Amino acid sequence: MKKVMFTAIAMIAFVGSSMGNTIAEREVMLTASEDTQVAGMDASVVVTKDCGVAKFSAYNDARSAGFTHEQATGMAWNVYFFCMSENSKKVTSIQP
Amino acid sequence: MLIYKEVMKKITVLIYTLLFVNVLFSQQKNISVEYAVNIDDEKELFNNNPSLRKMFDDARMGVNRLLFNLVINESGSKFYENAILSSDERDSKSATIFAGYSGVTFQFQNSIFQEMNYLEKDILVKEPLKDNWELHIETKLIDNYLCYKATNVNKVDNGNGKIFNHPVIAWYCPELPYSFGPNGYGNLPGLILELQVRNVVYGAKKVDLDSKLDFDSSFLNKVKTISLEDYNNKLQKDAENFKD
Repeated sequence: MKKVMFTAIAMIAFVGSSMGNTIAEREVMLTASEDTQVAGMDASVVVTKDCGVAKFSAYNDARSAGFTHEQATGMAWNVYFFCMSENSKKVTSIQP
Repeated sequence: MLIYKEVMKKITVLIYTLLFVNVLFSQQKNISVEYAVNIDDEKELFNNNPSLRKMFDDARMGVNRLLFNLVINESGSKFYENAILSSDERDSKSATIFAGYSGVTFQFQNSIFQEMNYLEKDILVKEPLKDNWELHIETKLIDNYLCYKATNVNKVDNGNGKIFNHPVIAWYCPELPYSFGPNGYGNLPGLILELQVRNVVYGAKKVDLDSKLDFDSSFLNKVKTISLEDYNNKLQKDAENFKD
């Protein structure tokens, strides 16, 4: 009886631990797979612009060149949206 | 007595008929002017900022697709952008910014009311009429109208202690005795057919002295107004958060 009980407990412990390992392994495999994909990208570096800074600079440069607040604000937002769209293109272009 | 009553009746009918004819034929015809815009190059402009320089070059290319209307009726004038002809909205937007056009502009007897890009539609900037015009004897023939030169200055304070005095040149035509013009410029003894502010030139393409275009000025009772100074302060405050 003691042997049966010991066997049962050992089985449960083994199954439990092996199930746990499977889940961890999956997680690891997923991560490893993502790593592999990024590594497969030829390790290209994507440099995106800080669009907030670009917007702020555009506003100040426009004001320094004698444009009104309204014009400078318009130019700043225009630069910002263009910058965001360029950044988005760069990020999209690295998708496998 | 009976004859007197008859005569009075006839006179009354005659007066009413004359009044009716007067009202019928004295209705003032509306005037409309279509303006095209040109932006002259400024070689040194934005050499320190390639994004802005590109925007300026794009605006210069896109500006020839912009058209504006000035409609004059008995209450005042309305200046607005026609439907955009451009397929590239970004160029047209840049062009309107560089052309100094913020939105629909009304000029009435004592004030100018202007819609702004960064205000709700029911809030307008209210300004006094343009004054301090300097009248010159130089003339120019525009669309067969003899026009005279008037100059002024558009002051822009950049907030860092520097004030820009952008030159303004208006060609107004006394033959067309309407004291209006593009983008809120007016208050001259004649309609402005050509206006240059800094490097931006608004030029009349078509003048219609019997226009069907019209506008209703009753909206003024519903809108709120702020001064240009308050509006500029608001924009400057907003700009301080641009980096975040």
